[in-house]
Parts: sequence; structure tokens; C-alpha cells
Amino acid sequence: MDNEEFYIGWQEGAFIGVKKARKWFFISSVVLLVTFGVTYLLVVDKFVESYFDYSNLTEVKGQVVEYPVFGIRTELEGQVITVPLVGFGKFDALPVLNELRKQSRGKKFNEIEVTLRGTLIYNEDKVWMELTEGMESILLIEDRLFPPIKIESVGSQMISGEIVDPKCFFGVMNPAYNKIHRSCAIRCISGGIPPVLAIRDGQEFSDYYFVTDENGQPINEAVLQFVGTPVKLSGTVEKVDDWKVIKVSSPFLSAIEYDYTSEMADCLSYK
Amino acid sequence: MSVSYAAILWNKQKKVYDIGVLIFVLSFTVLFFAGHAVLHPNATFETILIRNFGLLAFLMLHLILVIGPLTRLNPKFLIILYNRRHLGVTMFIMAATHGVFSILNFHSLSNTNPLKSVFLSNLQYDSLINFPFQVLGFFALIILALMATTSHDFWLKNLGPKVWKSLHMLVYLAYALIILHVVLGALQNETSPILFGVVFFGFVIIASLHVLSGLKEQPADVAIDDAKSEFVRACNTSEIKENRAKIVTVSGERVAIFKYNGKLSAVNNFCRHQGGPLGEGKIIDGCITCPWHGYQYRPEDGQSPPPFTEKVETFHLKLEGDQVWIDPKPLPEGTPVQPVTMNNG
Ligand code: HEM
Ligand code: FES
Repeated sequence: MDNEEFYIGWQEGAFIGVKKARKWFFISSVVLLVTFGVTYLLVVDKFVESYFDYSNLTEVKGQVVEYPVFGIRTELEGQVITVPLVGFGKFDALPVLNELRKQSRGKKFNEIEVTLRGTLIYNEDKVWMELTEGMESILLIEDRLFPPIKIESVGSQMISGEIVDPKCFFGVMNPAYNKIHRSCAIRCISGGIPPVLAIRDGQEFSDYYFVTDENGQPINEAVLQFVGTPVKLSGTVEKVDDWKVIKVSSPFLSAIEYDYTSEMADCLSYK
Repeated sequence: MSVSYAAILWNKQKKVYDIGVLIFVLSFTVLFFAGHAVLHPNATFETILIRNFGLLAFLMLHLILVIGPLTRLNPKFLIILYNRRHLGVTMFIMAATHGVFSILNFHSLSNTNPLKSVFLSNLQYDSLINFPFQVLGFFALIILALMATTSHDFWLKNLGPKVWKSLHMLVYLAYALIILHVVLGALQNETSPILFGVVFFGFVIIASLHVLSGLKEQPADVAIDDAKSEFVRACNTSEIKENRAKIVTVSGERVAIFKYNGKLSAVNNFCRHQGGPLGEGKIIDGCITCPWHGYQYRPEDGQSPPPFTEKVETFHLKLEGDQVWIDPKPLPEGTPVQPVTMNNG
């Protein structure tokens, strides 16, 4: 080591030799950074198309539904669909449902039409709405008679998929499934947001079911440990309007199990 | 040097360093956000933000960890080591931004305290593949926070260099936790094996540089004394360059034997600042100058010149012909020892 190489940090200047080393280190770091960044962007998984209409409130008019979940049946872009309703943050909107019961003064929900305001959450198939303003979301309640909603029984089935929290999944966060989203989904579902079984078709999600107990009642607490991992559910399937429901047979634990084969399949699908 | 921590001296070298760090952080962030806008327009802002800062911190941690061994292999890199703490503190800020936004995004506005939720939402602590990976990131962040807050010389002074050094060795534990955080977390969501390969490659680079630099130092670590002996032969005078030192190990400690102006003196190799290798330093203006941050000690008594108060242990030497002998018993820090004079200077 000669004089040229000895660097003293508190001195004002630095020798050419060490300055060169600094330059070399800096340039290598930037090359590393760019190579890594570009590689990452090219190989990271694609993001599904979903939206949260943040800071933009929309008014929706229609019939309140309670089964399989609290929602509003309405016409959006020429189609009648059921828009499930959730609360602000990681909570359900059941306080608003109770308020609607009060304000409808003894009338049944198929005898009134309500106008609600909230933030839309949507992907290409499904629309959800967050009642961002809580009780203030209820704008109007009018009299109107709706025909009963069709419920069609499909029969017993065994379905493989992943239990997701639909609020994040359909738009509030992206990506909102699998391992990285697990804790968040557990918080949402334990906060009352109805669990949804999302079915994959290859890399893409293509089909969705609400998950309830065998009587069609919420089973949020019971599914928590199975959220965000591949599972197999067995139960009876129903079609309710444009949604499907799987009523999980009891005893619950034998009806829901980890789907190890599909986890294996996931590992093996590395290309 | 004890008064030097009161004022941070902003010289040109520090500025150049900090500008470099800033360019690094900004260019990655711009590339990352622009890249998502073009290739992944559906990604949400929060996801990009969280990933940007997580990845930046991870990359910077790799740079921080290669600097030490690189310097051992080629002392020119001391210029990078010198202000490494700036890199460290910046890395911590990146990691903390990542951690705080992750907690806000994934755990807040819920029915549980967000911090509790990090630990209690996913409870599969008995599973490897489903392990609550965020907890690993959380502990890594605590370590990085401890290191960043104690990085100032004030803490070094108060904790003492040995405790401080052990605390800062925890960076390797943090690195291990973060590797697991990434492998058991983010990588579980990704289908491309390339990302796994990149993490593994980073680990291999860091591990092999540490092994290489360790091998280079090993000869100095073979003790030349057998504990009982008085004087032991250390080296030949011709093995030491003028104003430089040779490092030998006696009584389990590394000792630096310096040659200057036809004289020889020996001091403990461990710099009182951050444990830099004094024996890799140089005599400048009559003082042993530490290669890491330039702390200085007089070779005759191991004391920093006033107003500084740092002291290192000194050792007795003797010459037999051109053979240098050392007494393995260290003298108390700062004990004056008459330098040995060489006949042929
Ligand atoms: C409180 C502490 C932390 C929490 C709660 C946390 C949480 C998370 C979460 C949820 C993800 C997945 C995000 C996603 O992919 O969308 C993630 C990924 C990651 N984290 Fe952390 N983390 C913490 C600390 C750290 C620390 C200290 C580092 C390291 C320096 C770090 C580095 C990373 C990296 C490199 C990724 C992968 C980025 C990616 O997803 O592509 N994390 N972390
Ligand atoms: S370790 Fe910092 S000056 Fe010696």
C-alpha cells in the first residue's frame, strides 16, 4: 500500500487512487440497481385489473338485500346486479343495515327502494360499495314493491380455491390475495366483511362464491385460519341473483381443509 | 478524539458521499414508479410505495455488508467505509418507511391495535410456508433502529467500543431475518423463480466476500506465543514497511508493530473509536492514524494527542539482530514505552 492509497476521512481532499475506488463502487452500485430494478419489473407477477374509486362518491338506488350478504340490488350500466356493501376500513356495514331497518318503519325490504351513497370497488366481473360515510350514506327511502329474488339450488359440491377478503380483493388493494395479503384479509374478515372463495383458472381468478355455514349464516371467525391459502370446501351451492353461495357442511373442519395438492401444483407450475 | 463527536464536520468528501446516496435512492424510486406506470398500471400506489422502500432497503443492506470485506481485500475502499453510517441511517429510513406503510396499509382501521395485529393476525407460527413473515421484518426493523440511533459517536463513547461493536454485529442477524422475511413472504406470492435466484445470488456474494476477507486475515490470527513465554519472536524488521505496521496475535489479541524514523513501537490493534485495525493504518505527522476514520495515537504511549483522550494498550519490544521480539503481556492503556531503535535505521 503506497501513500496514494491511504485515505483519511477528515481531510478535505482524497487521493486519485481512492477517488477511483469510490467512483468504481458508485458506478457498480448503480448498474446493480438498474439491473435489479428492470429484472424485477419484468418478472414480477401481473396485477389483476381492479379499481377503488377513492375520494369519489357514487349514488346507487335499488332494493336492499340481506341474503347471502347485505347489499343493494340495482341497475348499473344496463344490468341488474347485486352490489354487496361494506363499511369504512376493515369493517362490515351492518350498523347501516340496522339503521335502514329502523328507518323503514316496519316495512319489509322488498317494499322499499333506497338510495345509498358510497365509494365503488370493482373489477371486470363484480361491483362492491363501501358506505364510506356510515349512517350519512342513507340518502332516501321510498315506497316500491319488488318481486322476490330468485334462489336456485345447484346441489352438493367440493370446490378448491382461496378465501379472500372481497373488499381488498375487488379493488381496494392490489394484489390482495395469497401470503402477502393474509394478515390484512384476516383483519377484514374478522371485522365482519363477508368471506369470498375465489377460484383460479390458471393464473387468473374467474369465479367467486360467498362462504356461509350450512344455514346460510356468517362464519367469519371460523374461516380465519384458512384465509389466504389454498383450500377445498365441500357444501351445498346456491345461485342467488348474480352471485353464488357455498353453504359449508358441518362439522366445519372436515368441510374445509388445506388443499395441499394445489399448493404443490402451485410450486410445480413454476415455468 | 473524544470531543470530536460534538460537531459533525461536513467536508467535501462527506458531501460527495451523501450526494451519491441520494442519487441512488432517487434513481431507484423514479425507475420503480415509472416502470410500474408502464408495465403494471393496475398496481396500487401503496403497493408500489411499500415494495419500493422494502426493495431499496434490501439492496442498500447488501451494499453495506459488502463494504467491510471489500475494504479488507483492497484498502482503497476505505473511502466507502468512512461514511458508511450515512448509508446505514438512510437504509434504516427506507426500511422504516416500508414497515410503517405496511402496518398502516395492512393492519390499521381494523378491530385490533395495528401493532398487535402484526403478531396476532396470522397465527401459524408452527408452519414454515405459512409463517407470519411480517414478524421477522418487524424484529429486523427493531435491530436496524437500534443501530441507527446508536450510530452517532455519542453512543459509541457511552457504550464503549466493544459493546458498540457487538451491538452493530447484530446487522448479520437483521440480514438473516430479512432474507427469511422476503423468502417466506413476498416470494411466496410470486410465480417466477428468478426473484428467488436473485436473493440467493445476493447471499452468495456477501457470504463469499466475507470468507475471502477472513482467509486473508487468518495468518495474523495464529497466536505466536504460548501464554507462558516472556518475549516471543514476532517478525523480521524487513517485513514492516516504513510508517506502517505488521499485525501479530499475542495473548489472544491482535497487536500492531509500527516502524517509523528508525524506531519500532507496538500497540493494541483495536481502535478505540469503532475497533478499526490500527495496524492497517499509517504514521502521519508522528501519529498512528486509524484507516477507518482517522483517529490518531502516539506510537510511544498509545495516547491520542491532546485535546483527545483515547488510549490503547502498549507492548514492550526488543531487537535481536534484525529479529523483532515482543513481550505478550499488554501494558495498561496509554503506558509510555521507550521505542526500540534499529541500528541500521
Ligand atoms: C415492521 C416491519 C415490517 C413489516 C410489517 C413488513 C411487511 C412487509 C409486507 C406486508 C411485505 C409484502 C408486500 C408486498 O409484496 O406487497 C413485505 C415485503 C418486503 N419487505 Fe418488509 N416488512 C417489514 C420490515 C422490513 C425490513 C426491515 C426490510 C428490510 C430491509 C424489509 C424488506 C422487504 C422486502 C425486500 C420485501 C419484498 C418486496 C416485494 O414485495 O416485492 N421489510 N414486507
Ligand atoms: S475505528 Fe474509527 S477511527 Fe479507528
